[in-house]
Amino acid sequence: MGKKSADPKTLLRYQTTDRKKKRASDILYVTVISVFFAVTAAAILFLPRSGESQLEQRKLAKFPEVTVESVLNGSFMDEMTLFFRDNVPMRDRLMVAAAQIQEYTGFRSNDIKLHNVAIAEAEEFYTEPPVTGTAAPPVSEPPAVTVSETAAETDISAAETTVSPAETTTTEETEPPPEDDNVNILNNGIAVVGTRALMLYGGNFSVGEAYAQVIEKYKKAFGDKVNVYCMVVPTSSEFYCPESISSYNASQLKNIENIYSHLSEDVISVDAYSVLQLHTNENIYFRTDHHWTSLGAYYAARAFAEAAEVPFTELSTAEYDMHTVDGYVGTMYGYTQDIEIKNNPEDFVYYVPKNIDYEVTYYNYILGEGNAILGIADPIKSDFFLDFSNMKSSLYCTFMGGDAKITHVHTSTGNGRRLAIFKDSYGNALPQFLFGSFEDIYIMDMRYFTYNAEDYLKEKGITDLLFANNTFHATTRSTVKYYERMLTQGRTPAVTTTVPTTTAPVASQTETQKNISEKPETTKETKETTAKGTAAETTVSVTEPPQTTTVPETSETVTETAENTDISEENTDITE
Amino acid sequence: MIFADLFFLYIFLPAVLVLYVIAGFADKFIGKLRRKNRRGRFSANENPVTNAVLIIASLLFYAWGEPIYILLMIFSVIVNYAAGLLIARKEQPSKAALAAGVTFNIALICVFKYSEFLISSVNSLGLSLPVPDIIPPVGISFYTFQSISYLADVYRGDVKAQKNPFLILLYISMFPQLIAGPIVRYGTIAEEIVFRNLTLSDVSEGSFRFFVGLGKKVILANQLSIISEQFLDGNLDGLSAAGAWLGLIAFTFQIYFDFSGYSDMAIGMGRCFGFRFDENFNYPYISRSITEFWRRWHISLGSFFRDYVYIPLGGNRRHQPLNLAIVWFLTGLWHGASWNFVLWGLYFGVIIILEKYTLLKIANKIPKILLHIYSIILIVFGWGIFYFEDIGRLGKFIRIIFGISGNALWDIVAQNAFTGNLYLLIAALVCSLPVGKLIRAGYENSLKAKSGAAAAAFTFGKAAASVLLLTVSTLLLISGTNNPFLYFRF
Repeated sequence: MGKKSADPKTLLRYQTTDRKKKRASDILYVTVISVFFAVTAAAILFLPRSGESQLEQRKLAKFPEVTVESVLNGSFMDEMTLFFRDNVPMRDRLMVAAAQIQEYTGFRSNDIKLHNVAIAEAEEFYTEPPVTGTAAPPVSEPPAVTVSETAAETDISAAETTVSPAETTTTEETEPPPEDDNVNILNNGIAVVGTRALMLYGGNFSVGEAYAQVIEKYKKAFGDKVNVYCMVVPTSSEFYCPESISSYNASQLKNIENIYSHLSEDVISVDAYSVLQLHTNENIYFRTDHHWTSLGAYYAARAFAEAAEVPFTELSTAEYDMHTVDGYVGTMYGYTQDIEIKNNPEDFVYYVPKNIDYEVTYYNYILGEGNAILGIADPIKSDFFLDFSNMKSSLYCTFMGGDAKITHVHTSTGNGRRLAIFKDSYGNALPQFLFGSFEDIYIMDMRYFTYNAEDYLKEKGITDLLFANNTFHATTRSTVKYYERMLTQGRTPAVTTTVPTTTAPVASQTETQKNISEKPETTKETKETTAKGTAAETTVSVTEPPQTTTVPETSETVTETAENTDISEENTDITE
Repeated sequence: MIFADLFFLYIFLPAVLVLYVIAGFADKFIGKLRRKNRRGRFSANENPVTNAVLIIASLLFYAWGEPIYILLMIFSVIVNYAAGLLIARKEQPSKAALAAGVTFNIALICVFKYSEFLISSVNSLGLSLPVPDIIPPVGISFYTFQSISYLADVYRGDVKAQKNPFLILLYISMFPQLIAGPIVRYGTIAEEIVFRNLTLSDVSEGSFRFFVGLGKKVILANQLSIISEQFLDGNLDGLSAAGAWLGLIAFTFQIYFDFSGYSDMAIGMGRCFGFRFDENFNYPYISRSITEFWRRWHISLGSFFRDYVYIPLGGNRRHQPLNLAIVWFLTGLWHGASWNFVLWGLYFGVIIILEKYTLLKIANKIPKILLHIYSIILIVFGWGIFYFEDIGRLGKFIRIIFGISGNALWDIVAQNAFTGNLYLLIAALVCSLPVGKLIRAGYENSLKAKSGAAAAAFTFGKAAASVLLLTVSTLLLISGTNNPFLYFRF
């Protein structure tokens, strides 16, 4: 048959080679490598799968459904491959190991590591396709980093939301979900400077102007009855960006000034910039997350309260319980996989007002694929501060549990001032300091608001309307689109229908009403520290969510529910 | 399915290996029975069970990415099987059957890989024919070429026509070499298909080769692709000359480690199954001329064009420049259905023709270092042509690397990426030199030496290296950073 086939008896039998050493070497090698390979394979196959990744703040791929169609078009195989790659045992820990390995590819000069830093082409990215039938414009370059800013939080908030399936309201098909809901924040990439991650800012004067104009529209709609405020909040890259990369980081001050310069005198602009600038040596921004800290929000809230001429509860141990959760590694690790961020966690601090009674009602949006709004759940009474101490990468969700909801805070202030905040996630940290300033606060995320803004605010008797966006959002075209749509969209998330059980997020801890009188008891383990949060190094275990607390039905609750029912009835009428 | 993936590594491959070992025992048993009955004579297929396992595994492997196109591949196998038999039916091999078979294969690749390109090229001359939207089947460039080589070799009498269609199916579809080569000649494995003598040494060498290939692909190529994509895929307006060079150099290493890593994995797996494929790469970046580069780069493709195009056209005996031009046009086109690949092929064709009349005649008078520099610059520049399918972007990129675009020459992004990947780039440089060859020579010498210590040390090192390569590759695959598959257009 051939040269090699001299002796058929050696077929698949380990042949004795002339050189015994070679054979010994081969036996040893094949044994070692087989055992190692088998053990690794067994570990990957049989250890429990991760299911979700805390570090990346997302659910991992699921085992795909087998259908004839999915097998024939290959999607089953693709998803299966993805499942095995994505949903591996101990994923988060292995990811950290991988990030550590990748760190060995080189060194950081001047302690800086740039992640996809480049000038993004802002305008082109948000250009809508032409309406006429002409050929599509040349594809623009992708932006430096596509960061879906809200995905993480909304995921979490969906998990936290408690929905009783039978009683939920949902939108009809007539209300299209926001087309680019998963907003890609336009940025110039992320620079890790030392242990601080900075999302670099692109800026856009023309969008800033449009942002100012849409706020003017709100002012015109409400006239003298409502004070309208605009507070554009700078982000950390404005204050901590080293000179060497400043050419990739546009001036937020100039962009904020540009926005304010296009506001009329009727809109009250709040200068958060100057007050934050005074405190850049304090922890006003997270190093590992793209948000600001409670302390940063505090200074801005104080500036706002001054502008609004409302009473303000200064930060002090007498007024606030300070809660500290350590080990916080925020979104910036997920975006960059930068080991320096992972290895340098920070404290997450929030302040619970002590001497004000308040009651919080959540109207959670039910989200589907791609954060499409499916409907709105029944109101839930809960605390403003939710316990995320077991989900350390999601600690920013401590404030209201995330973005996809309308939050109503009723306080014991009783001064006749009722505030509505239209905001992005930066706005989530503000309200904790305003409970003593307004008797009602409505907090609404511009990405998740399905009512007509004018009707809704009039209905709630709003006296003050605050637009609180960070500089990135204030100069992003989709933000302007959201605000414009909120003025024109229908009065309602339409008809009451039943949401199928499958779309209803799993219930969890928060279906309890905040019981104000029990507050001191639940926080007894917390150490309190003095005013400036910077002084505090203490790590405190955070208040357990008051799950077992019995909920007294206050009169306020009843009113609240009634109000809600009113709206939905009204809505039903309109659509019919 | 691709090799550098957890599903392949930890599910598909182990399953196939286990089945293969079991099938091996079955074959052995069947062989014994047979020889008893037939007084020790061999049959035409001594490994029916292992071959069956390989065929089923290969079809599954292909179906994993291309469930429908598997029918196309099987159809192609049937046609080529029949063509092979027809060619060799009579004493005098049939030219007509060869022509028909080769035409079929060329038609197949033209329709499924080049129709969109051909029609839009024709359209650009003023016509407006409907442009078909066909996603080329994975591996079509490889398996059609293997089929052509089979038919040509049968015609020439170099190999016998295979009478068992399943063995042709195995030859064409064998998963280690199915989607990314090397282009294995039928003659190379004709004997092994029917009779394999798998030794422990094969398993040892083959598995080590596989881990080396995996490491090249996952640790080097995938990491390098992060750099090349960062600088070459983005907006060229903001690209500095330093960034452009960094991206291009990263791509130069990336494509070598990606492609040769795949070849290593293919050769290694083939070896574990008892097949010996020919080498596909031989340290191409140490070449001293472009002519030499193409003898070291993708050897199976170069020898294919040499044996089945260049020499039949007349080789160096008549109109050699024309023959070279045709070969290099085709070589370029083979890499992708886009004009930049044609340009890239012709670029090398022109250089090789020029070298024939100039450089190669005086090469031994020129310092070696200059020859290395000359070659590597032309190679790197060639990868620039290869990378940009958009000719407009290519032009802009060329202006940037020569510093005449008006863009900055240097910026902090390039500097940061350079320092941030310096060790990776150094590792890439070292690994593209024949270091492995040196270590291997040391290992083999240690086996011959009297003392067992050196042999033990080398064995230990080999095992440790494999464990390390597998562990690091697995971690990097899990972290999912960049795992591009460069061969979809090949």
